[in-house]
Amino acid sequence: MLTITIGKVARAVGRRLGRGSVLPGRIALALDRHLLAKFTLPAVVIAITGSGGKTTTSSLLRDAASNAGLKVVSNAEGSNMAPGIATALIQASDRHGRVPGDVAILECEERHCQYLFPDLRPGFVVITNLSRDQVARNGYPQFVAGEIAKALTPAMTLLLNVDDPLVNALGRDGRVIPFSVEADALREPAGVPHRADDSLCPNCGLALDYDYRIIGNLGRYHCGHCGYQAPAPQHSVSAVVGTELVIDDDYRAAPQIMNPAFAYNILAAYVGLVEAMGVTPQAAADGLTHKDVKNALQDRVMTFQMGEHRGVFLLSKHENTLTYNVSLRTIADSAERGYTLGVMLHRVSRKYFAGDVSWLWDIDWEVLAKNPPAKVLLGGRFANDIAVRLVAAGIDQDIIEVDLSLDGYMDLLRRQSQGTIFFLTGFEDIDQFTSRLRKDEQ
Amino acid sequence: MITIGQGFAGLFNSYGDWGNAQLLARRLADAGLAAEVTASASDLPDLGTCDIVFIGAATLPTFRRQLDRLLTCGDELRQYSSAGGVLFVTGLPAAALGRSLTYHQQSLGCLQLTDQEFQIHDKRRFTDGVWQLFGSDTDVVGVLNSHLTWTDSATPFLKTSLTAQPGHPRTDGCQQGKLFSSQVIGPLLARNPDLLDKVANMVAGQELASDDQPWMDFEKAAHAQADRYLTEMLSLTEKQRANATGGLKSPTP
Repeated sequence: MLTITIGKVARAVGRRLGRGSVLPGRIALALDRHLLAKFTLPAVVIAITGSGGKTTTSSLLRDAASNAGLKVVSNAEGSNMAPGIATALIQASDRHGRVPGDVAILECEERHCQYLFPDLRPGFVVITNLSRDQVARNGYPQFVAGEIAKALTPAMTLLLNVDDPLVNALGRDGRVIPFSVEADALREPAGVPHRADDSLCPNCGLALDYDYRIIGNLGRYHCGHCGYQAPAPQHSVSAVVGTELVIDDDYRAAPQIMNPAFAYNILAAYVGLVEAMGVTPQAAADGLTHKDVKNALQDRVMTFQMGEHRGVFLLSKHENTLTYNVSLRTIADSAERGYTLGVMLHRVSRKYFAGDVSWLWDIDWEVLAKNPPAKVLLGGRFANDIAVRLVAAGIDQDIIEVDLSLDGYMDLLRRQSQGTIFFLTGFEDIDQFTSRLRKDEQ
Repeated sequence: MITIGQGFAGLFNSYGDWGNAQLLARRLADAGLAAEVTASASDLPDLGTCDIVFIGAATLPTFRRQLDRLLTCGDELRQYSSAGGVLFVTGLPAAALGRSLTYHQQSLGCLQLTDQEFQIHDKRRFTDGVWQLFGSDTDVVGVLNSHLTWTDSATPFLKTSLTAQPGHPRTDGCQQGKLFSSQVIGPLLARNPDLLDKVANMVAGQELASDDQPWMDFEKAAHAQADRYLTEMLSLTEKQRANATGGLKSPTP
């Protein structure tokens, strides 16, 4: 327990140094590498992992659980490895390591589950999806699936997005609650020309046949060779009515933005609320409606004003094609004519040196042909790389302008935008944008 | 009509493989030659109709599972190649084209279309780097070292200038006539205009005019920037790089 006390002191110091999200945990873990096992956690511990959607799903779960009257503990500050989780638990616990509350909602980095779960012993694990994501660091999705599998035990209840063939394969042992997005309105249009992610059978390795896809490799699939397919879902988004998702045929939740990613995230949160926390389906759906999805550090979606132009900020993830594709589909489906597309790519990774931008070539920029922008404004160190890709995708080069300097780029957005600005970047670059935006507002 | 085939597009398809085929089609179209891309998910396209065939990169588990499938196409590919068809293969499938292929000291089957001897290394990292195309002054940047194969080559294609991984200078892949095999993966044609022209001319059977490529100004600027950045960063030690980037580390397995 001395370690926890030291952690609390470190936290007080860390906050003054602006390193409150990991420093106390890092110090405490250096003193006791199994510190996480020393906490007495709430009766319900739910871990959320996967390549994309972890933070949004965790935020939705946290907010909706709180609204349902549950006392929640969570690593809300965004650090999802051991030091971040330790810091959150140090903060929430008393000096004996008791963490009061009804539920612990813990976002866990996918490759680190095998180190976290033995100590945290989550009763419920939500797995969102496994897509090609930061390959230089993570490797390929099959590898990540193998890493997660090492963390799972039959004692855990797995809440699985079975639309993802690799995620579905993780549910071979133990209790599984499968969920799926089936709504016609959210299905990928026919004719998407290429796939960034493997759509291969986890059993026999051959290409899967899809009845439909929702996005990328997520959808209704079966293997013509060995018969591999997803089980019937226990929970699903069955339809879209107006601005609402219909969940389990009877319950409605309105996402902040109607797109496949939000549908999956809301459904995952709904399943967590109902199955892990005992919230009624109606209360879960109500609690997930119109949530502003935020965590302490970053806004996932937000609107902003830049001079006379309204801006819609769609946060994606560099090196993750799936997130960009969802954002682009949202723009293609919802932007009014005459809009501006802004994209910033300056720092590929938050933690690692990376100069590779080959992942830009897997993003379906071609979807913009359906609703082309009037202006494309690109910023950051790799702005010209995006320009090459956009021209190859059929965007008229004459509407593209580039500024490599971030300050210059903000000026370009102010001067050259037309109509609404749809702005894309990864959370690796979000601070660069929002800090300059705030400076403008002052 | 020029037909660009993508073989095994559902099995072997990594970063940039789709872009290579699309950009070549665009390059040919801008030169006034109609071109179409035809993809076959888990087989070769009809080689009798193709002017060039791309086979993309694969992860190690996928490659090992699908190697036999690729090997069954040996005769077809040999026939296509000897009839003058252009073949462009990246990543692990490129290793299957060689004279020998080993993994963990075990010999795997290969097609013996090229003279190279390949080894697969059991690493899983993809790393940044700068390469040089033989016969060109322009670096190849913005692509990845798939690091899973290694070859010495008498008919070199790309030469490693710098990579994030320590290693000795070597050649990565080979060009034998109209057959290109590259250990490096990514949008190779997009990231080296000389290579794009070389392949486009080969496919078209004529020297194409090199003006009027609308992305070229952007590509030149992107290339210069990436070259500067990568050369600077990869020349530094890990500690120097961390200082220069505000703490960014090399990816660790």
